[in-house]
Amino acid sequence: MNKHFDDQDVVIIDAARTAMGRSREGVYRHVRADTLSARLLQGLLARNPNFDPARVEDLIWGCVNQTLEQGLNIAKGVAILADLPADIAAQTVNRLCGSSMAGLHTAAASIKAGLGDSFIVGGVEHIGHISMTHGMDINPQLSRSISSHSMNMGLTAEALARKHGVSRQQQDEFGVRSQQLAHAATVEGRYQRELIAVEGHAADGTLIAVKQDEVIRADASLEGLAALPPVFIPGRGTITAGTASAMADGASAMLVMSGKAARAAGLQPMARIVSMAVAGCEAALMGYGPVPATQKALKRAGMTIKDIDAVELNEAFAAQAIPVLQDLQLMDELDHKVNLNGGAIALGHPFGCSGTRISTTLLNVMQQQNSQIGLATMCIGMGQGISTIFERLE
Amino acid sequence: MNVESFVRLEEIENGLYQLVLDATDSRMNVLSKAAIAALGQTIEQLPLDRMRGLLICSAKAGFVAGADITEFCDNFAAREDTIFDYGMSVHKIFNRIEDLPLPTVVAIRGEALGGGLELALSADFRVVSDKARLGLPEVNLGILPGWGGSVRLPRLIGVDNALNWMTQGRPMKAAEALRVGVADAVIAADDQLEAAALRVLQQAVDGELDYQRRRQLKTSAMTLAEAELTMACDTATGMVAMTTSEHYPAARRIIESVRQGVRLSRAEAQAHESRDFIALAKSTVARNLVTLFLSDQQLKKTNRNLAKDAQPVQQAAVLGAGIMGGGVAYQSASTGTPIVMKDIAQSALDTGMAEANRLMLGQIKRKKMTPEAALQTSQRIQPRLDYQSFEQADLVVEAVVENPAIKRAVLAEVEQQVGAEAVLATNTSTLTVAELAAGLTRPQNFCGMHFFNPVHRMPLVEIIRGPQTSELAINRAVSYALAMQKVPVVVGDCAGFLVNRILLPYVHAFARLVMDGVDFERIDKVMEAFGWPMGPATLADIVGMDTGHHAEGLIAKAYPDRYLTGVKTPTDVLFEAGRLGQKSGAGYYRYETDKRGKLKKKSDPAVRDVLQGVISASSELSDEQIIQRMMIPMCLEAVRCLEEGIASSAGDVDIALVNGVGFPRYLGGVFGYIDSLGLADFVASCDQWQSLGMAYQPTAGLRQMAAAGQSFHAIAAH
Repeated sequence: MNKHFDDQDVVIIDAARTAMGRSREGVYRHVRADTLSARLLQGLLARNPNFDPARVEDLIWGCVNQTLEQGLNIAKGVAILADLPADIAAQTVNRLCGSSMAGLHTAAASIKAGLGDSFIVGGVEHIGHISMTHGMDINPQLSRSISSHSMNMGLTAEALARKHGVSRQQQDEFGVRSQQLAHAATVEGRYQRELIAVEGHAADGTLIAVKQDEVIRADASLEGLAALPPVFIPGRGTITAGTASAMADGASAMLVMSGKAARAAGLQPMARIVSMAVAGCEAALMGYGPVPATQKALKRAGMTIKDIDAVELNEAFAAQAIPVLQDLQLMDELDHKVNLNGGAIALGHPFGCSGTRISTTLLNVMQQQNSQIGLATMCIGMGQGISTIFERLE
Repeated sequence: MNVESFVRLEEIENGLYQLVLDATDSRMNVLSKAAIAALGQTIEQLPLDRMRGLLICSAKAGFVAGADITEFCDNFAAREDTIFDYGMSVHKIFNRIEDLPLPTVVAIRGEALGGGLELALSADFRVVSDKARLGLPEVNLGILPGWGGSVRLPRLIGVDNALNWMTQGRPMKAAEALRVGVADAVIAADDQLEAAALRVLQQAVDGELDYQRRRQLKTSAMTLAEAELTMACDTATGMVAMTTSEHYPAARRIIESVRQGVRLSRAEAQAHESRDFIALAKSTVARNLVTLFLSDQQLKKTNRNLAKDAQPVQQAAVLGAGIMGGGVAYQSASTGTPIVMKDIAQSALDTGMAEANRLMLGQIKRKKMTPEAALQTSQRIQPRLDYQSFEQADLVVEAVVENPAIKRAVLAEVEQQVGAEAVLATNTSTLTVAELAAGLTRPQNFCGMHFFNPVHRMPLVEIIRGPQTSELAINRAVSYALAMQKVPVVVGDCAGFLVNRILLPYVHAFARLVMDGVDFERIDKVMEAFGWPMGPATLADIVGMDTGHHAEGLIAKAYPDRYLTGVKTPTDVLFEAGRLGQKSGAGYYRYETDKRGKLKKKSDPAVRDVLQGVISASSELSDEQIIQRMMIPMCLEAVRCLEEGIASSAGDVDIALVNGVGFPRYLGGVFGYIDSLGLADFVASCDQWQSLGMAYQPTAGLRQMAAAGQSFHAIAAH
């Protein structure tokens, strides 16, 4: 039974993502970030014939390292490559890991402000083509106010884990959980609705339709993870390759409308946005960002964490996710509320893609779990958090 | 020193004054106690009523090289309150500069190091020439910047940047100083430096540049969040831990001092810095590092004096294109001296050139060398199968196989091919210059130049004076070694020369420990923890058991009274078993190449069976006893070398061992080590091991020095 929504609501019509490719010699090694984005978009629009691209005010694409193939306002390039009408505007946004969720917020705010009623949002990152640190040039004067090492996300997560007393064992368990849940979701077809196949290349060079995530490690075990060396603090650290988000390339997208426009087009929305928030925090503890951002979003929604039935928390690091879940009082609800189809540790974290990727996964989990209210939240480098609360309408 | 002999105040115009640092009778400005007093007096007496701005500059090629390190030993030996009071008196002078009721600019040309940079940091602006070098190298001497450097630098450029500068201790280029904010402007036209500094000063006087804001930054407590401070300091500590052992406490102390100091007011932070400074200055490590620094300076001076009488080597030649010959050719060419490389086999020449190419490609990849420089280097090496061009060679390094008959024949042959003034230098590690000089018609032009492997990386070159070697030949060899950017040490002629003669007793002490049933892996661990870059078993594996077997045999024959003879050593049995070390894949350890192509050392149970035959006891020794048994024979051999005149000073020996075999720097070289133990205590510890024979027997001279309470270096009592 579909729920009621208001004309003034911001609703999600559909959401999808590409399968996640390994950044290192993965399926997208011959596919550019903009092409990957365009093919996903074409697939999403094809399955929503009643969503009229000509109505779209703006295509808002999240992308962090906006240079080379991701440079020059990749959003407009994506629009052209996807054969969208020339009169659609397009902008690329950068809020680091929260980029595409910020794109969603911009679309929602614009709809609320009456600046258009149809938007396409999403994001991409091809870390295999443009590494995380490419072109990085930190202002040395920042060092008077923050530590330049606060730009090393792994070190900030180590600091957060230390502050909250998160052990290596707890992190390893969290890492294995993510892999096992993602693997189960794959096997049981729970990613089917969110995945749109795009072209890529198999290991031997064959052109293939990529239908399944390449990064998930089905064979992950606690013993295997326990044997991995710490990556950020040699010898003494607690974070390993097994408890950090995987290096992956991918794109995700959402069709966003006003309730009124959706109703007029005869479209049944998946969900409506209940509230949104961003919040800053200390750069050295950037992984904690989801806590203040979520508290703000809950307050704006007039809710408490008890009202949330499903949570997608971007797993930048287990070392960061655990303190966030503890302080949001979600640790006891882990097994029936949080990242039930796994998270970024298993699927990977293509920065520009991740915000709408976790939102997409959340809406599907909510459908699978028959939950009503869901939260998508993530931490952002240099000290921020971003959160969105959705209500399922299907 | 009267005031005018270090600093003078001059009026420029319109109330702008300049303080010119210009020490008389010196190449550079150094902040000795007298210089500080002169500076303080001048600052006290500034005609403030007539002044609107102050420029601080230098009349020398550099700004200020630092504090006067020759005063350190005496200064550090003083009572703690005396050191504290002196530190606070310098703070007072620098604070007075920082608090002047007018803007201040420092013009920096050349070096502004240590106390020199600390002085510059007290001003509002720093205008530097693009060839300037700025840094706080105190950590290299085991201390911290004690004149406000550790207080002002983090406030000015942030905690991370300041910790980088202070824990690395290397001089930074002008561009880096500008990037992080130590410098406010870099001036390319050297002769315009003071003019540019004056323009900055005038703008500050006119209120166009905000000097008060800069001053405010430096003088107030920092406000960065606790988590950021923790991140900065913990990460810096982690990085220090990766490169520096616990034997060098200064870097860690600097980090802790900054951690605690940034929240304090300037006055509190400076008092705090002074107390941390004293804790380090009072340490044996600081004393040893300072002594080593002074020995190094002394050696450089000696070498400069020797080289200044020599005709520079314009064209060199090397005989033999093997590992050493090829290495010499590359080093000579890459530092600008063209060299002919001769061998009897084309394949050897090809290998030699291929090795040079490999080194250059590596340098290009690491951006240490431009492709242009590599091409030039390549063109400076002329590979030949004949003696063509040898008549132009000013110096020939002979680096053929370690066989006296072949070496003599080759040397006699090449002597016919070179000019009458050309110097012949043999690169040998086991033969003496005297025995190789026999067949030469011009033995006065013949000396030894002992390079260490790999030549491009090992800084030391022993220049060996044979019985007939002339001063001219020595001077020329020293000049060539300096041109090759090496550290030459002139030594006397004997088996093993200086470094190997002192190292081999250590190697033999290891053999005897193994024969006495002490586990070699434990010895490696103990000696590495003691501060050696690698333990003796690992060293043996790298040197190669064949080379070790040969060298130990020759040295033992030359000094039979302190070696076990007629018994098989671990080296011998490993050699016979074909366990040659890294080169054969196994020696004491087994070696495997990992996924990244790096050689990995692994324990190998199979070696126990090989060694079983030479183990004749099962001694229970403490770590301390292992160290004594390893170090005493080496120390005593060094004493003998000094007494026999093989080395001309204790400092030379210390520098040679630090640069040649990686002797732990924190110990101050071998004589710094004996001095730290105290000669009487050292002799007493030798006496406990008399059952082991002559290798543990102090010389009569050493006993006399110990009885008289002397030391090798002039060290003040702590």
